[in-house]
Amino acid sequence: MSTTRERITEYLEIDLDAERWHCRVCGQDLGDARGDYKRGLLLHDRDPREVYEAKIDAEYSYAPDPAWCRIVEYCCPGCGTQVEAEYLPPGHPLHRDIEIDLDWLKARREREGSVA
Amino acid sequence: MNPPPQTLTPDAPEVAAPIDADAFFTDLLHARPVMYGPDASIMDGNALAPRTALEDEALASGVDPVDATISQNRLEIILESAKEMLEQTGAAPGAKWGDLTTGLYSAAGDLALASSSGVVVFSACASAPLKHIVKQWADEPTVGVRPGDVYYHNDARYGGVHNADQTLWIPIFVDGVIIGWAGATIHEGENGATEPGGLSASPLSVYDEGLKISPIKIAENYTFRRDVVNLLQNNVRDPLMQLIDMRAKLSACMRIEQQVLELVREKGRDLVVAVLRGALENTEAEVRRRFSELPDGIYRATHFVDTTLLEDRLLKFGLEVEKRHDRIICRSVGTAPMIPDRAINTAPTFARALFMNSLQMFFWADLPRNAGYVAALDFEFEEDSISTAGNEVPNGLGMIGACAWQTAMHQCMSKMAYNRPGDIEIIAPWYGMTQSLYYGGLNQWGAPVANLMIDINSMGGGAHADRDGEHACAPFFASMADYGEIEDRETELPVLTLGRRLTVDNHGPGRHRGGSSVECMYMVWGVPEFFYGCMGTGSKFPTTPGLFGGYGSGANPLTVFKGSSSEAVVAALRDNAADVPYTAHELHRDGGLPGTVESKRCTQSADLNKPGDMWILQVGGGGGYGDVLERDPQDVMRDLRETRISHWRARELYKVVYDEETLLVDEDATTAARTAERDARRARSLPYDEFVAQWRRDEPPVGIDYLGGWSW
Repeated sequence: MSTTRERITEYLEIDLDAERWHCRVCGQDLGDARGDYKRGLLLHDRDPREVYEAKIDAEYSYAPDPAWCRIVEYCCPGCGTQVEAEYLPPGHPLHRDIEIDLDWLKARREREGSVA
Repeated sequence: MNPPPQTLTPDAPEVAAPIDADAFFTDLLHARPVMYGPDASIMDGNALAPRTALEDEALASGVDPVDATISQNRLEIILESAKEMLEQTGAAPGAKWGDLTTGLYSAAGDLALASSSGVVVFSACASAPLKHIVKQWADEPTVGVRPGDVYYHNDARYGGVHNADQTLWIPIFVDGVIIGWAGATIHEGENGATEPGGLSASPLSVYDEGLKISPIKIAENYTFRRDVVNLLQNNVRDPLMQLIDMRAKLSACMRIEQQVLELVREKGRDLVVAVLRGALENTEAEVRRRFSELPDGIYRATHFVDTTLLEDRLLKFGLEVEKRHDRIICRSVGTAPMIPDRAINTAPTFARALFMNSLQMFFWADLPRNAGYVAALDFEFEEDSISTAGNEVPNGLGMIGACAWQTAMHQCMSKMAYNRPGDIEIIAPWYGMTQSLYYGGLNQWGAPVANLMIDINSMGGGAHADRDGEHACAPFFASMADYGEIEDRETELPVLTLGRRLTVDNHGPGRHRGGSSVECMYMVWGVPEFFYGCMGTGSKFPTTPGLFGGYGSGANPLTVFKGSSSEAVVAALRDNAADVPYTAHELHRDGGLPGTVESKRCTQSADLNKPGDMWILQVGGGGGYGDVLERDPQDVMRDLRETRISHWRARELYKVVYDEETLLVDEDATTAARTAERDARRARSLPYDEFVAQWRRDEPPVGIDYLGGWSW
């Protein structure tokens, strides 16, 4: 791995020089680090009953109601690792959950001369 | 023969002075304010009160830092000791099992030090009502603040959490000057609302929520006014508990005062004043310093609450956290509007407290629990949102919605802190809801009882970055709280606990799984009838997400069983013990008890139940951490052995291939199954733009009553 990479989450890192998102598992390039890392991933609309077994056949089944709740799963196109699982009502705007200040990270590297 | 009647006024009354009618009517018409309602200058801010001259003087007096540190520790031990005393003497379930706090407040009213266990959020919202007392009553000629005075409060419109919590304060005087206040808060529960137990789902107005005590003086010379106590008792369903706990809180505060004065005698007034002020200012400064080490940026999380308490609706809680240097701004974005006739609204002081709770419980728990913590944060709340509710709307169950804030803050902070965690342990969100039963009626001893089951304290912990979460560990707001003894409960209440056990699949899956929590089966017994109600969310939409690809906890509806008759239920329990179901799932699937069974929204208004009727609720588990396909197959087998998960989850989600009889894993087949699943993920998924084109809706789906923002 490049020594200019900063870990950002369990599965994401940023190459500060190249300003690119990468998968921490396989190194896959995931796009512009000044943009949303989610744009570099693959997305799937998951019925929550595939994750939580409906224990009974009823309106309140002990599984989330698929008409109310969907799980948007994000995986790495390189290795298939699941990077995020976002719980949303159907069709709700996706979140840009991390808008990290790249210049702040670079300034810290300049200041401290080290990489997390 | 009856004795002759005694006169109540043995001496003739004095002749009253003639009334100055002009002065009387002038005062009546022009005196302002009409009443001392919640003060916006107190309720809308979270900054520390400015330093007083006394504090300036104390801090300039050259207090030795070592002396100050030792003294601060001593004060914290005093508070912890008083909290233990309160737990031993209090009557409410909340007192016995840890939903309480003792604290030392600055003279101006900021909570400066609190017991190290107990409910954390009070450190961010219990200052407001005391500030009201200081501002409005200290110089008010009919009230005032004198040695031995005792003040009381439970109205969340003036601060605090909700009116189930009651706080008592006494001023601590040294040489005629107030140097601080001792305070004690207990979740008392019962408050005389439309339903018994203090957590009513049904109030349609603030006036349905029972006892609302604006900050008030209730005693002088450390002696309660019996008429005032009687007034409070007269407005709740458990007058004995009201009396016992008022006395317990006063005793705890007097003990704190006594020991603080001992410290003053040993070390001087300046040292104690400097310690209290220093704790506040140092905490705020240290929180800001720690923020400054984390990456600047904007972090977002949104959560959804699936009930208004009386019906299923989807309420949005949107959070944007902007971090620049040592400044953190928490913005509510697109959050559901205030609902004027539902008790799910919160006052902003409590909403702010929940943001702070996440930091203090899960990120920097080593700092003093005080108002300096929340003072380090800035807030930009949308007007008239469900978290900035006005004074004319009910708020007794506001935490049902506002819990979403602490979870959203937890997610944002985890994503901010992962880059440089330092002392921060990255944990997936704790179960973030207050799922519990409340009750009321006459118990088997003929005494009135009304309160909550304390299962609320058995939440499952979030998965850690390097290990699984803890089962039924503690609530997210009080790490040392307990959820009580069944035998103790059955002694006090007309309730048999047929089952209380960790539930299958009751947590968030992931590389490391969240901790599970309990399912409780409560059957009415020993009285002709008894009220149950239930509060919580997550019947349709999970309350607790996972972290970094891990999944959240699932859905937790309520199961209600109505026995065909108490005799039939008893006969089944006696004659067919082996077939008696011990979980809601078994009851739904296999029957085994004579009666009807139904799953319901987990918030239910109080309902009358007969002997043999049963309510079964689940408290939820913590969120999972990381990709499920990275979970060690042997850990999956351990979960199966411990009945923490079902075979369905082991096969369908974790993709482990194993022998269901022996639980021996086929490692090669598992590797192949997981590789196939990773391939399948990629095959069924779409690039971002293609997904959005398919996913996007310009408004909420038809058929879901949705409250909150929705914009792309």
